[in-house]
Amino acid sequence: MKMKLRFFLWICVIFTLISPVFLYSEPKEAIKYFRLDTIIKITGEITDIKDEECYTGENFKVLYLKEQNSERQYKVEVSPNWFYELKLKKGKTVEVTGSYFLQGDDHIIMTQTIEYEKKSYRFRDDFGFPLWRGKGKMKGRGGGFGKGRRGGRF
Amino acid sequence: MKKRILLLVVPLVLVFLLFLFNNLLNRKEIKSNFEEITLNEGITIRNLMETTGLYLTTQGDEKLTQFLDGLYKNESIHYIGLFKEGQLIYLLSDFEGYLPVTPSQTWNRIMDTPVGKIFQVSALFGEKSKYRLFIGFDFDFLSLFEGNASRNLLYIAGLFSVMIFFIIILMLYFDKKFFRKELELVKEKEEKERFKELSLLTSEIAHEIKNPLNSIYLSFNALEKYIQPEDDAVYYRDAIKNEIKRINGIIQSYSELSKEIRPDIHEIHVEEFSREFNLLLEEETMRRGIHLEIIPENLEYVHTDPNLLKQILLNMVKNSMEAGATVIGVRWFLQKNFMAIEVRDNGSGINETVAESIFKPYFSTKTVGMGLGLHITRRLLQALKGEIRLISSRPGNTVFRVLVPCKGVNGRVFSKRSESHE
Repeated sequence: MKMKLRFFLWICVIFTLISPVFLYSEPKEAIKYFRLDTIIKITGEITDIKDEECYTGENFKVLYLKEQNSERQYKVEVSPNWFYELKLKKGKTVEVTGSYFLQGDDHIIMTQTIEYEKKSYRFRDDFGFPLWRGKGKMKGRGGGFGKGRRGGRF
Repeated sequence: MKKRILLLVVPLVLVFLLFLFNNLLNRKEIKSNFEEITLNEGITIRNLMETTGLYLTTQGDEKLTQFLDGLYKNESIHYIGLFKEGQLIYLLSDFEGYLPVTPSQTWNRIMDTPVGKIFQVSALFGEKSKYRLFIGFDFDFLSLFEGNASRNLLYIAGLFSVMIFFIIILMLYFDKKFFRKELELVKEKEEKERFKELSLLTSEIAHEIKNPLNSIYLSFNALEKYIQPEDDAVYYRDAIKNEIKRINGIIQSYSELSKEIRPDIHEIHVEEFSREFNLLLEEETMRRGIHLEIIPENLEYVHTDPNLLKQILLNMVKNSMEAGATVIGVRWFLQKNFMAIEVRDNGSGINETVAESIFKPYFSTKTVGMGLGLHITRRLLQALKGEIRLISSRPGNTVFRVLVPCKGVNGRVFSKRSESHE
């Protein structure tokens, strides 16, 4: 009996210790948006670079990144093609800061900055406003705000 | 000069700074009031959204999203985000993935974005406030207002700058002009004083020479009766006589330099005056083979000092003769409010480099004369409130023009031929 109780207590202790692991759930959203409370910084190797339609209308430059520590594969949405000026290649290591969320099984990062070869390239402001929207006047929707500063060194 | 510019520019700059300060205060106040009013209005919108949302949730989430779809068609809305129990279930945004909210946020606010201000309204509704709705309204008209205000300020700043620039330019221009004029006046004054001293000295010398010259002349007259008309000495007699006359003329000129000229104005008949003047020079012009023509164009009577005028014309005509002219034309006419006399000759002309000096005393480029003719002419004309100008200095066509104001002396006027004294 004593043995059973001890075993039970041990089980309780172990469960208490590992419970945060079960309690932690990664931000899982049905709809992606630039969350201010999930901004992370990861360093990883580029495994692929693709053009994908992330939002309606324009093709986005998307980097597939394998994180150095966790080996997790991230899908990094950078910016529309016309705004993207980086000369990145597969196998290069970059540091990406952005809003992270899980959509299905995809670990997605909406890029704020990319650090590459000691240079910083900014794509969204602190509140996630896309810099390719520029400083033009807001007139209607669906683009047409004028091209802003391209992803350059900041 | 710098001090004067500063005295004018500094108050202008101060006025502008004051205006700028006032403008900034006003803008800040308007902006703050406007934002406050908007936030107050936002409460009404929020209440409206909450009521509508609450009603629509009873119909199901689909009805709510349909309503939001319709709402998003409004161009003044930039994004709509709907959270249900902390999970984003609906998002429409003009800017890819942009929804600057945290799910726990519950207040209305005005945000600065790179494309202007956005007024964000948040509404909570449903059981235990499980729905949170965020709508980003275009608040760019405030930026528009600020843009207009900045533009106006820029225009005014530009206007002030232009004003200051022109003030400085004008001041520099007038100062330079004034300085030049002042310098000319000083120079003229110095010249006058020097000339006065010189004239005094020369008139004293002239006076001293005149007495012995008179004695020489009287003695020579006494000797004259001993010379027979057939003697060779007649030639020498005439030469001595002419030289004595010449010395007397020189002395006379020097004496006149220091005298004050007082015009004695009379009404003169121009044609008669011209005839007399012609007679005066007839002998000399005949001897030298000079054609002298005096043409009174549209004048019959003038009010002036005939002696001074005669002296002026004499000096000018003699000047032409000494320049080797064979044709001299004197033309009288009325030019606006001036009586104009133009003396034109076909003499050797005046070199442009010395044209400015010809009215200075003792200045002459000719081998004959003392260089006083034109200077005395100018002095005489100054007494008549007139002036003399060199119109053309070309060889073969030298033109001087004398201008005397019609009402220049004692308010008298000239008479045109049409208003002749009949």
